[in-house]
Amino acid sequence: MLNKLKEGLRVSNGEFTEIRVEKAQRTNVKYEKDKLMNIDSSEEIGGIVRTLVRGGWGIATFNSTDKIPEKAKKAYDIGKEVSSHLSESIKLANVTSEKDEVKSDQYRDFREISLEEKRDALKRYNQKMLDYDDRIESTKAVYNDSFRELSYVNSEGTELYQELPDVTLALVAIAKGDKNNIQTAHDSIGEAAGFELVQEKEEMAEKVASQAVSLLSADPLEGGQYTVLLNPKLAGVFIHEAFGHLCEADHFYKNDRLQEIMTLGRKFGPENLNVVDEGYISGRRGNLPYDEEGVSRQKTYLIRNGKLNSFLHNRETAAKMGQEPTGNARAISYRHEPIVRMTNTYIEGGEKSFEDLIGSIDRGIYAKDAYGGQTQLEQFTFSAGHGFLIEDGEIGPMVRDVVLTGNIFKSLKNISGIGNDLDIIGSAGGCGKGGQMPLPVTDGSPHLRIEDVTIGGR
Amino acid sequence: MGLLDQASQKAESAEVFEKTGSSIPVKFNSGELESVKHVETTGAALRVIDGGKLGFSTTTNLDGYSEVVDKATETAKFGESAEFEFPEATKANKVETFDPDVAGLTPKELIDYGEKIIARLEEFDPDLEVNAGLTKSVGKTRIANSNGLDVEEEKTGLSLSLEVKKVGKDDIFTFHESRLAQKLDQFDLDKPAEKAIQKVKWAQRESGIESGTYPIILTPRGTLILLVSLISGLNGQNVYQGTSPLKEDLGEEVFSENLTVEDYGGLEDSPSRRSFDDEGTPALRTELIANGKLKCFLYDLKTAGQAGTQLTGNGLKGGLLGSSDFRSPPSISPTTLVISPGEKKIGKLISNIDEGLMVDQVLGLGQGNPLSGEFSNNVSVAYKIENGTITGKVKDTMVAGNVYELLEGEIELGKEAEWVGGGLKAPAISLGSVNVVRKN
Repeated sequence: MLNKLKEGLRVSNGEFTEIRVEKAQRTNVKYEKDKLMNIDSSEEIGGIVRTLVRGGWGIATFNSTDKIPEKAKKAYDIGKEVSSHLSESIKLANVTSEKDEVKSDQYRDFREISLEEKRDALKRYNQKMLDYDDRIESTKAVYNDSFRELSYVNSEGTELYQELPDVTLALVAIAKGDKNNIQTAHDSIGEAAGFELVQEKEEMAEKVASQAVSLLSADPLEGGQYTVLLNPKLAGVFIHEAFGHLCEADHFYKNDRLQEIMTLGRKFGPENLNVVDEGYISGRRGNLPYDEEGVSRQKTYLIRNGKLNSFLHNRETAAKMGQEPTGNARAISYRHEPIVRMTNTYIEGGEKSFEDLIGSIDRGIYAKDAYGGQTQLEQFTFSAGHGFLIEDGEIGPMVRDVVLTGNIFKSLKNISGIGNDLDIIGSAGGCGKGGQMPLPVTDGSPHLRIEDVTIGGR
Repeated sequence: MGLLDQASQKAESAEVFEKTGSSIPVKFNSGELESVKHVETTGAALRVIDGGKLGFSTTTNLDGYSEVVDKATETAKFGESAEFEFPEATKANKVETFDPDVAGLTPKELIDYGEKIIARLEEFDPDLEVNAGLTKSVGKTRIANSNGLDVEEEKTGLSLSLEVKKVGKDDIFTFHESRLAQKLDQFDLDKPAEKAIQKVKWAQRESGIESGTYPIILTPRGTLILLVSLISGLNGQNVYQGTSPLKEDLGEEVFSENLTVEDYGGLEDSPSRRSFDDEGTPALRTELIANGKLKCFLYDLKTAGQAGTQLTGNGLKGGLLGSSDFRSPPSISPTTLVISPGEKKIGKLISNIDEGLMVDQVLGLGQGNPLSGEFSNNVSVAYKIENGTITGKVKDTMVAGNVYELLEGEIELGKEAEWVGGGLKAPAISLGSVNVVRKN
């Protein structure tokens, strides 16, 4: 394969050219209520050429690898047009060229597992949820696996082959009380692993179903400001939305005003807050041994001792800002050029035990599990699967519809306690940015206590 | 031998969905051209019914088909019983979906459009940071099945998307604006530019609001808060599975009499105009809600088969705001959703409010509990209304309520309907009382 890619390099006249080809094998199995809604086993191949011509990017994608030389020329022609509109040439930061092959290691390679076994496992989990209680009105159980083989070459001599396995399981239970009381609970797991990850998940299914039923009698939360204790899963989403995105340099590498806000060394959080983006942690979904510009993975401290420490870069943003690339150029597939993205992002563990964190809360919310989140850079939102009232340091009744909001200039400063129980958790779904979604990422954190969090409600 | 013939030999019946085409996305970052891309798409999805069971597989390899046929028939062994048959050839009302003027656009012309709109915004305010994307696409869809249906449609598309930032001291105001069209004469840069400038003007001052209950106006884009829940309630699959709160309400007057909603795939100026859905069913004009009365739910082949109801032509690959992807199996989605406008201009709706909000964009759309209609969103673009006029933007503010309760109560609709994304035409909607929580 690499030789076919190198043919494209030979015919390209750009000052820099890279070619990436991806072969992907996927399986999807989906149950809804008592029906198997989809079972899909597919393969696909495609690639992308990106070439820099007098400082302008020309890009072309293809499905047939026989077209690589033709597409390399096409990308060059486009790049020439682009360059004639630029006032400033795009430059790339220097990196060492790499030659490597990274094979995956799965304990039970999901490509070897029969469709029947995959379907049967999912059917069991789905049935477990349906059988849990009469009030379970509907369910969803979704299994996805994908095995991506990425081949990459560039005109600086980098030649890479990487295998990226990804397997996820998502379970959803919908319980129904009276007419408008319809409650949804869900849980999911996802790792760069084999089929073993999703085996024997009956307990997870039961927990999801039980949560949906419990939510029927939970009270909706009254809107207002609360001291909240986030469990690791939700705190991971919090840091991803609250700070991770803002550190992606493509948001501000050409924006002087935003750079004034994002000054290295600026204090954003308490002294004991450390936030990391790490390109490789064995088995994690966010892993990318080499990023999609062929840059080796890194461990990057976004926040160190409460202060902004580093940004996430690709080669272009790093060059423009005079910094080092961090290995964060990522693309969801061969149809997209790489943009600056997170990998495995987490808050490092602190000092406090769970009892310490909750014990001092007179009135607050213990918010658990994550439904999702979104940021607009300054303001962000993240929502919990469910929550509990905290009264006098004790966990009280369950509450529902816990959607939290924050502001980058205030929320991190309001962190008042960091637990000692760091957990990095892979779930299904992924991150969206610039029309590229879902990208596998992993978030993590210990339990986290934050003061004055606004929660919406009626 | 074509894919359909090969599949028909191996399985009882088969359906092929083929997509071929290309697109040219042009990207600007912070007002400067960043890249131009040529994207080629070739792909096919194969559904087979074998042994009475449904199988599915997709491929990007249109030369050697045998693998995808094997995979689809393999999945059928473990698939669900098919409670439908692929439709026979029917006469769809063929609509025009292709514009040679769009197909002929060059990268240079797209770059010119981008430069023009960026120049206009920067001329208004040099401090605006504009990320812009312009994409031209040409694509052909063919759907053929072993029961004799064989339809083909070629579509063009032109889209503009803007992400505008205005950065002050520890203040980042960001919003999105977009315009999509199938035909060049439906595409204009003036409207999105004017709307963007209006947003910046309104946001020049920051206003506050005390937590409480207020009337709010949703702009056409803001109506997405309501539609996330409403679309899920009207989805025939959710009705069949018992999770739609509207399940028992067919024929009942469950909404304000001011509300009329239809699904109209063939609508002339729709950016996603189509003659048939992604299963080859003709795109119909379906009244969903007429003057508050619930008239119909949306169905695809599979759910109509399960529920024993009529087809509505809503089996689509990709949702209302997403783009069609041959890789996903068809599922229920509106084609083009149209909310009928009301009598009053939006300015009049605003002037009727003593104190309230106008909400344009929120974060976390669909978070909360969309099935039951509960929403709770942080507003990202919203303005304070005081004594009938807009006085500035609000931030760190959440709005919450229940879509079904709000639409049952008193609502008023604006006179001017606008396109939101490619598949929704909506006017502004004024809601009686919504809970607002604001950080002190």
